[in-house]
Amino acid sequence: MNKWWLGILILMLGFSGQAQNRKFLIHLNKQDPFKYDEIAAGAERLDLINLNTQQVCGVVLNGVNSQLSKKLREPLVQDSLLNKICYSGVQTYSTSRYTKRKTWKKEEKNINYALKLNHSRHKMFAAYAFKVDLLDLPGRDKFYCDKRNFDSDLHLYAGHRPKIRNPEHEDYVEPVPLFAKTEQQMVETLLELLESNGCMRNIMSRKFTRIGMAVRMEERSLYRTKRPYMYVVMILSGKQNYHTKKKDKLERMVELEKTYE
Amino acid sequence: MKHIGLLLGMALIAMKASAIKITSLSEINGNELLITEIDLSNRGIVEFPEIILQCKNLETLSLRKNGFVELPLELGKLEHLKKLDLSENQNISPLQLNDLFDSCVFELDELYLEDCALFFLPEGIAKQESIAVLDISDNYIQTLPYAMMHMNRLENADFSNNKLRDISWLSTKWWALKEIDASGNEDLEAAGLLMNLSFQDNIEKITVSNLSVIPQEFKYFTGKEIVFKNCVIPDLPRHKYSSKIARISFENCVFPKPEKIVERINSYAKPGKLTFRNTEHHQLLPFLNANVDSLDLRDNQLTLIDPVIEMEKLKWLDIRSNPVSNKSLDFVSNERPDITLFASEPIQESVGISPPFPGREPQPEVVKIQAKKPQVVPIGKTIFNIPENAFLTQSGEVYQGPVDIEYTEYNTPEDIFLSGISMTTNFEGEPYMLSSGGMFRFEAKDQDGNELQANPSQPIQAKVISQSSRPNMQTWRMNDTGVWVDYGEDNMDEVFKLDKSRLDSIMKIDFGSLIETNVEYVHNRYVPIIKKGDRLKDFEISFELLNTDWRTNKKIRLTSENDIEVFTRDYHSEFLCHTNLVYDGDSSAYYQEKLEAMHDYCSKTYSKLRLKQSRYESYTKQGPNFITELKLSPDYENDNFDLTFKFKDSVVNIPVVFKTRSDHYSSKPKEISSYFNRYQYSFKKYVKEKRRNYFKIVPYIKKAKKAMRLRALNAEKARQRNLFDQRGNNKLMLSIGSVERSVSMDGFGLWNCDVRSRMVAPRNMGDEFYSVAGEMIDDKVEKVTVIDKSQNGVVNFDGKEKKFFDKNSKNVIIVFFASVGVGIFKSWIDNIRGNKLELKLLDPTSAEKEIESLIKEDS
Repeated sequence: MNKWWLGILILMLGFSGQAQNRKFLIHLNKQDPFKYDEIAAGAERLDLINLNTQQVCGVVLNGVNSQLSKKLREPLVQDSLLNKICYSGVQTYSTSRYTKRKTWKKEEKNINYALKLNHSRHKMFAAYAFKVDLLDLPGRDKFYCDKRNFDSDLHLYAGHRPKIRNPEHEDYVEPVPLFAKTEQQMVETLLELLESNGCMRNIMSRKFTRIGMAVRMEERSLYRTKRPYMYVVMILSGKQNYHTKKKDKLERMVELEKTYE
Repeated sequence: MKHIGLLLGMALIAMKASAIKITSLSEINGNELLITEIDLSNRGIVEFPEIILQCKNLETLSLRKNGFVELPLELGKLEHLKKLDLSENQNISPLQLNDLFDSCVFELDELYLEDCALFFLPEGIAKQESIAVLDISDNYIQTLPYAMMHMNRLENADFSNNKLRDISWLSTKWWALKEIDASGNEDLEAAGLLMNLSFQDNIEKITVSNLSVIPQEFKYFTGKEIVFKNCVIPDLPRHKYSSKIARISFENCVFPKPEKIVERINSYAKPGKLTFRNTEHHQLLPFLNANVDSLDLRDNQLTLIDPVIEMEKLKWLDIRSNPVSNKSLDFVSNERPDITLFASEPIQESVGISPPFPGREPQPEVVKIQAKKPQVVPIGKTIFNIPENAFLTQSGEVYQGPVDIEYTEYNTPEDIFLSGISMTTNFEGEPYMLSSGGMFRFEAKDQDGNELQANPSQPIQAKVISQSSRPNMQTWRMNDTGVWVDYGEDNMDEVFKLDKSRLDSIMKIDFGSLIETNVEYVHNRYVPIIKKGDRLKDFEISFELLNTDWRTNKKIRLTSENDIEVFTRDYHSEFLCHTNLVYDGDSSAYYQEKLEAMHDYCSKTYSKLRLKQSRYESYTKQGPNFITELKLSPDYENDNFDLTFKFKDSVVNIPVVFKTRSDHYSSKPKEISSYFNRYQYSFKKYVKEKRRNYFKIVPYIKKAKKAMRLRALNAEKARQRNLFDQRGNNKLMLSIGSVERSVSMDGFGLWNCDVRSRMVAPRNMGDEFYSVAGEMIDDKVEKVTVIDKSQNGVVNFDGKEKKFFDKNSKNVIIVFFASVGVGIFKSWIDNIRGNKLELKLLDPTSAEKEIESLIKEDS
């Protein structure tokens, strides 16, 4: 009997996998291509409850291109089709796609198919998905969530949860509220991430010329003892024939061939 | 934008509407930009009229049958020219023709160079890739330029009566070919040609001659008509999968086993019509058991036709010009009344003159001369050489005073129709239509209006400038009873034609030992293969290489003294055969089906060309090459490659990418680049081989060209000499016409240069006539006149008898009704349903005026 149940379970899992793929493509089919306004990162903190994803993407893309301009490279061109694919991806991917490499490889095939369906003229691509921590607190520092305290919008405070809550008590310690990162901090964190997973190397290389990205705030990371984060999907694309172009002497040879007729 | 387009469209329509066709040079002035068609055939032109060059929008130019030598290079600047007819201009300089086609900007659709005494075909003609109709018959051409392989739009080719040797290789490149006539080339490799043409899809009609064996591949022939001339036909290879052939003709053929051919025809070929010409009686008899609808046995030696009663399907039988006995004819008519039998010409004999519209006959031209002295008088298109004492009075005395000559000419079918002159004659009890080559009425009167007579001892010599160059015409004169009397054969002289015996001597001196070089390129063949791809709606493309049987290591082979075969290996195509390509476009289903269809088609056809006895799998060098060359070019905009090849005459372009082992962004571009480099290397290798071959062939070709130029110069000198002699004798004829016919007049009245002619394919027009709107005309038919524009003759039928017209001719049929008026039908324009003609009805009161212009209209 157990075998039967196991079989049904495996079948259901298979269907759910197919559904994931279809979900992405159906979402993609409904979307229109769009572009972000690239703006410089400001000093104000991010509003995580109502995160302006358009602005965040614009800031990040500006940050990436400023890195390129520092090294006197041509900036990456924002591709509306890539933005569209990234947006559909970030809206439909399950959380495992951002953490497990194996599952992400499957998704790369879907992106390849999506590019073909939309007649992309840049066939070579590199796709990345990752989570970005948005809390302005060093990585290993302790923090806690206090929903009764309204000093912080995120209800997050530094240190250990206090046992004494009475402010008149002699051992009472004033809680230190924690806030979201500023735009500049967020961009710096993201660039560090790009550096660490090898994406920055591709950005700096000349073979990729186009970029597209989309972000989504993970709402389940708010108001609890969790560091608030957002999901990012980024695709770089370029011409797969870029090596070929350098060594192309075919036209000359075709002309030469005609003279011997 | 829409308005601009509309205006442009209207302007174009207006231009079309005002397009003019002219037939004389005087009409050009002031209409230069409106003229689209010029027909100056048979005008005796000796210098190319420069005024033609001002007609910038000219599309059709016919200069057939003239005498000019030089062709100005400016003619090549008429960029809209689509149809050029230079036939029967034997004085035309082949060198200038060569220069014209080398430098021209026009792209012709039709080119006629029939009977131009050409010894070689200028290579520039082969560059006219848009030509659909090419007529180079009756010349002395031995080989066709190899660049003619690019003429893939050629539909109708007439190469008959030349000295061609081998065109089978070239014929495989003409994928659009529908009709080809290669008869009359004695040294032609006709079997190879017929084999290659049997694989062509679009072919409809083939005419071949001098075959001793019909190749086995003829069973794949899918055309509608085949004509064998001067052949020995031991067998007719067809099998159960062969398609039906609608018409088969045998002209002057010999059948060692006629019963076998009959069996093949009945079982497999199943033609609708069988035609025989000049076939012996005992060879024809077995064919009277053939299972066909129509049997054309004209001009044979058949004496008995009794077996035809067993031919169940037979409905139409033509046995004119056969000595068939009356007994046999009666027997067949009684046993099989359902057969339409033509034992004699299906026309009615008429005599005398009865104009259909009195008062509208051609009017005479009056010229005054003095009868005293001998003189040459040109009137209209006739030159009269009048000796002294040529006129007699009614009493028989010689008249020497002033004479009024009344001259009327009837050259066109319209003139003959309006004059009402009978154009039939009776010969050995059979009526014939007279096909006119020039007719005139000559009458002479003295000052008081009394008619003068001809002096039989001093006949007037007339030279008629004829519109027809048909040989074997007779001189006829209408007697007092209105019957044409035969005065014997006339002397035809074509002023600008070269003396053939002299031309043959030129051939022997200048061309006898030298033969032109014939180059033939041989390639391997490729068949596309489709596999399913990795991604959804993807497929992989690869090609199968079919090795052509070559046998030697040498790339260039001299097959005969001056025939070269070149085998060029397509290294780049071979490379693509070993590489898998993935389709990279958005209509994969369409291309997949297309390539699969190509695969099936090629595999099926090439399986017939596979050599069974060869050690390795290889194929014959004969036969078609459907996919000529595989080429790849990078498309940087779409980031993929274009795979290009020619399938037959159409170019197939497919977006592809190389199938790589890895899909990772770091390794995939490198792999692609590596594949592309290897492709480039193989292409370079191919170009090198082509270059090597080219430099080996060039000396042969240069030598041939040099010799050809020398020969052309010699030929031209001879022509010039001939021309000089001819023009010295015929100064008066210049600028009138090119064909003269001599008539010795021993009496005045109607004179005619005619030949008895038969209908090629008689067709019954029925008794019911319909209006254009489709309503039946319920009225009594008094008379039907058939004006044959192709044969230049007129036949009348009365209302009761069966009425026929020639299906192969350009006819105007005029039906005279008792009360409705006159109906007019043009066989090349108007509809005919079954046997019911759709007539354009003319009002009886205005019919006389309209009918003249209606007959003249060509379209």
